[in-house]
Amino acid sequence: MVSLVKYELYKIGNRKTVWALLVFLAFFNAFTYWGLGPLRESVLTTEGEMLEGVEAVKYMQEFDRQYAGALTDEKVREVYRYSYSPEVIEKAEGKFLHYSPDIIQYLDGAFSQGEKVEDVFTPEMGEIYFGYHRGNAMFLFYMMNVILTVGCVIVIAIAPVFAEEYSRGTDALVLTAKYGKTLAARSKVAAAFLFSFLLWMAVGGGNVALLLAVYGTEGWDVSVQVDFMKWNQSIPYEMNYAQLVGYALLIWLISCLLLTGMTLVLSACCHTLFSAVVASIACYVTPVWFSLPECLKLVLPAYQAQPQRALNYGYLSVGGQKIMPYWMVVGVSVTLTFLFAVWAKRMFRRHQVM
Amino acid sequence: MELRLDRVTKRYGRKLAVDGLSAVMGSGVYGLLGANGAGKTTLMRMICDIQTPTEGEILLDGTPVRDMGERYRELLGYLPQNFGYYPDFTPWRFLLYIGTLKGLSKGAVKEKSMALLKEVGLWEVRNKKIKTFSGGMKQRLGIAQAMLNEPKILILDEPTAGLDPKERVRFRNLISALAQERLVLFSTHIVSDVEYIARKILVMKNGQMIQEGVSQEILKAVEGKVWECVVTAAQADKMTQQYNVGNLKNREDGKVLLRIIQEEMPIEGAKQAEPTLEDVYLYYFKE
Repeated sequence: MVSLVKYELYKIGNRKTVWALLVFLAFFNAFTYWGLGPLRESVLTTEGEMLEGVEAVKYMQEFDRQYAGALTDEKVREVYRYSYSPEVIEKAEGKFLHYSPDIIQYLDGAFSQGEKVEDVFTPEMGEIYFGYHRGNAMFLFYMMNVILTVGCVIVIAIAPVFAEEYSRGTDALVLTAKYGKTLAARSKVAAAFLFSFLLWMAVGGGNVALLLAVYGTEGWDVSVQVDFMKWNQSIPYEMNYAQLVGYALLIWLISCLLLTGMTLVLSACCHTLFSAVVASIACYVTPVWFSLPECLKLVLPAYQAQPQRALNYGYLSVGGQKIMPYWMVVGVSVTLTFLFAVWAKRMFRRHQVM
Repeated sequence: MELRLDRVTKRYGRKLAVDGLSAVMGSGVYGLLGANGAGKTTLMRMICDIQTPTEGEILLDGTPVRDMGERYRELLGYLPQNFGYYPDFTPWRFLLYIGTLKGLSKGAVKEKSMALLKEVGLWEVRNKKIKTFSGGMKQRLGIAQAMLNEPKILILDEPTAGLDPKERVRFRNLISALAQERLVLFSTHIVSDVEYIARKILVMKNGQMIQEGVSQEILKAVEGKVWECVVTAAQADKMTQQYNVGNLKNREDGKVLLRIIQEEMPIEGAKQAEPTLEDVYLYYFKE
């Protein structure tokens, strides 16, 4: 079976379209990183100096370190005492908040009415730890677009797995071979998932490496609810950025595999390559245009690019037990992926050559 | 070895592609003769278990082939009518892939691929992409892949399509040599292929088997129905519209020699001729 998987992987990767898409993905990733990553960081120091790029990152990390740790009302008051001087504010022409370090931006949003820490955070969120978190927050933000693009690459690369055999007429040769309806079908499915996994490894691994290279592990112990971008503030669980990034990587992997499973099913049932590609793209993209129940969105690959969706759900109480929906999403997605794989394999085996 | 087709029927909606066809085949070469749309390809696909009969059964030594699974496919070699290939594969890689699908070991698949590529005359171009091949070269590759696993049942759908006369003769000799311990079933429009190598001929029309037997038995159907006559060019034009003309030959004296397949004598002076398989084909498929 290993040999067959290698051949199937070769067939997937040997298309010029796939290579063109991978090159596009690399450029898109680089462009997104350049547009939203550390190279575009800028900060206005409390002395009124504008810093950019990695220098800005270092300054912000140092500034936030002063207030790192458990967030208290005293800390909140202390930060306000060290806010910008009127001269600096005037010189910045009203943009000082946009260019200020994370804690100032965050506090301006969450504590602008003089709230206490216990007013803003629920007990379920645990003790709130503050610190530099911009790198992790930006990573999650720009990776959403990258993962959506990875999904398009997967759909176009995987749609031909079965459909192209039908279009080319090679289905007759494959299905009359000894292993055609057994190992060959399994190898195609295995190769498709392997391709998606390797793609996720390259994209996820590469971007995590960039994240660590520029930002290091700073901010991994910071509570996700302390988010200057306000994306993660409503997550009702005790969670830090290390856990959020870890969960995001997991859910992105699962969405890649779930999308692969869906595409394999469409590939196995569509009689032409063109219809397989169109149907797969449609199933991937069109759900975002419809008003769907939130629970359904959680198991759609296009929505899984935003891991925060699953995390924003509160606990579910089932028979007196607290169940975390975000783990249920993982379980349901994995189950669906498995079912799609089995279904696709079966459809290919039963395909009637015309 | 016995391959039995028991009232095999295939229906596509209202269209009946194969209609209650029964036959028994053993070792040897079987030629399946029929016009386009006779149901030959559908029948072959059912024999290869890549289409399911609507009714009836196909059995190998008493066991339904669809129940045999890998055991049956291990014995099978198939060349489809429209041979599908991967354009960016070389013939070498293609045969290695198909050989792996057929369950051959790494060593065996390399050895067999090399031997077959040499046999079909594609060894020199083994590392060129298939998309650069001519139609005949692709067809030869198709034949090679069908024989990789030394099948006991070889099904060839229009195997000589696209081959030049030299290649066709080569192919015929290849098939004849293989047929010793095998069942070879091939379909064709080229009557001479059937004539030269088929032990038994199966004639299909509108999904049904209308004739089967050895060459001499098949020819009996048109015995006394093949005529030759010499007519003028004007008469020839008229008679071509009126009768089933198998051959028209212009003579040096300006007259035309017509070969007509007809129950009764077409014109006064027409002589009976020795029937050929081509006459049989035209007799059954004159439309």
